[in-house]
Amino acid sequence: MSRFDINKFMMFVDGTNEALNEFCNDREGFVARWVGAAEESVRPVPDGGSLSTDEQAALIGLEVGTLYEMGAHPYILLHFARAVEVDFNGIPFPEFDRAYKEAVTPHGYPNFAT
Amino acid sequence: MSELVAVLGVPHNPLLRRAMQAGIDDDLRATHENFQDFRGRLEDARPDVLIMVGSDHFRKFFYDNSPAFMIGKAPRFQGTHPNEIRTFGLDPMEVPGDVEMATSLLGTTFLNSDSIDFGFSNEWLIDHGWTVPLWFLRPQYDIPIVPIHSNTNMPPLPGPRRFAALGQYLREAIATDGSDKRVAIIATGHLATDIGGPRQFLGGDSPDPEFDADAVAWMASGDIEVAIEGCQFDRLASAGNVTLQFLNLLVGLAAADRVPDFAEGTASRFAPGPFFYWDMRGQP
Repeated sequence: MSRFDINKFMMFVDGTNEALNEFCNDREGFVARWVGAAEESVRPVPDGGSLSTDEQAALIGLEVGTLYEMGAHPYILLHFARAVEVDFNGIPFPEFDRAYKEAVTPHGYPNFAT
Repeated sequence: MSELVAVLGVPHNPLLRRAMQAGIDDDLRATHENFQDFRGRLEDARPDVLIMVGSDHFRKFFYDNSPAFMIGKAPRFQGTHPNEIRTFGLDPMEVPGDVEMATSLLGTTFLNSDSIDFGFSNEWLIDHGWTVPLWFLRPQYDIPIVPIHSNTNMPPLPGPRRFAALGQYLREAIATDGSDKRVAIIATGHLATDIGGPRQFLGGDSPDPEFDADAVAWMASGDIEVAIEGCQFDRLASAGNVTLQFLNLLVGLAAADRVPDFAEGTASRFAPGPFFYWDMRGQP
């Protein structure tokens, strides 16, 4: 598990409207291209990175609790999830906030150092 | 010699800005009044340059490139990043930079500072850690800035004594700077704040009221050693996962090196925000 690679992915998606739209319109395809870019090159890979199968599934499924438990940085995770659910999907923020807290609360405060 | 005329410690919560643009409701009034007061005090101090100490939120400095302390030495700084415009509703902005002051702080051969190993940046898109305090305190964006980034988000972090050393260095460097400018330092950070954790957005309540009271008391003591002692990593982290940004406020206390003229953790619709002010005019 690489906290760096998870954080890098989430920051990239949240970073621009283009990346956010591309991810939200085709989550599986976006993740496949991201992982593929890293496999076809050597670092640095500005728009790619290595993700395990579990990490890919958590990102595609927006499994906030799983990503949080993995040690994703909370600030980055919140803004990634918010970008997808509130900015793109149009879910009202209070509703998103309730679901987010329900997802992370059972996990307390995991270590998020990379 | 340049002169340190004011030191400010303020919040930079971008949600405050967006909420206040919609109107000043009762749960925003105290924060609004504090910012108005600080804006007037800053105006009265007539600074020629603002040295602004804050923490980039993973945009300029990420896990692939994370300096402990970084000085911006560009002639102009633009803000902010596309995701902050989208999510926070922030406006693009631009403010002049003071290359002369930045260079004076840095040096041109070996670093001038014996205490802080600064990095530097000639091109830096600043985020809400700088643009929001400026919007509240100097919305004309007409006073040149020297932004200083500290890593308070990606452990391992510089310890509290390093933040104190930064403040002490800024005070000494301003006093020996040859440009004869009036300088204000603006440090920005959080009291107890959880972003992305179980205690985020508690509707105005603090995730750790005891920390807030302690932290304001450390600052109000005017004693940097008291604040350093209080800022243990686990204590900061347990108060919320971005409470570590409180460390930036130690820079202000160390630079002022005395009891503040104003010290308050101000309640609002969001987690309480830090407000500290030192009038440094006429201070030795």
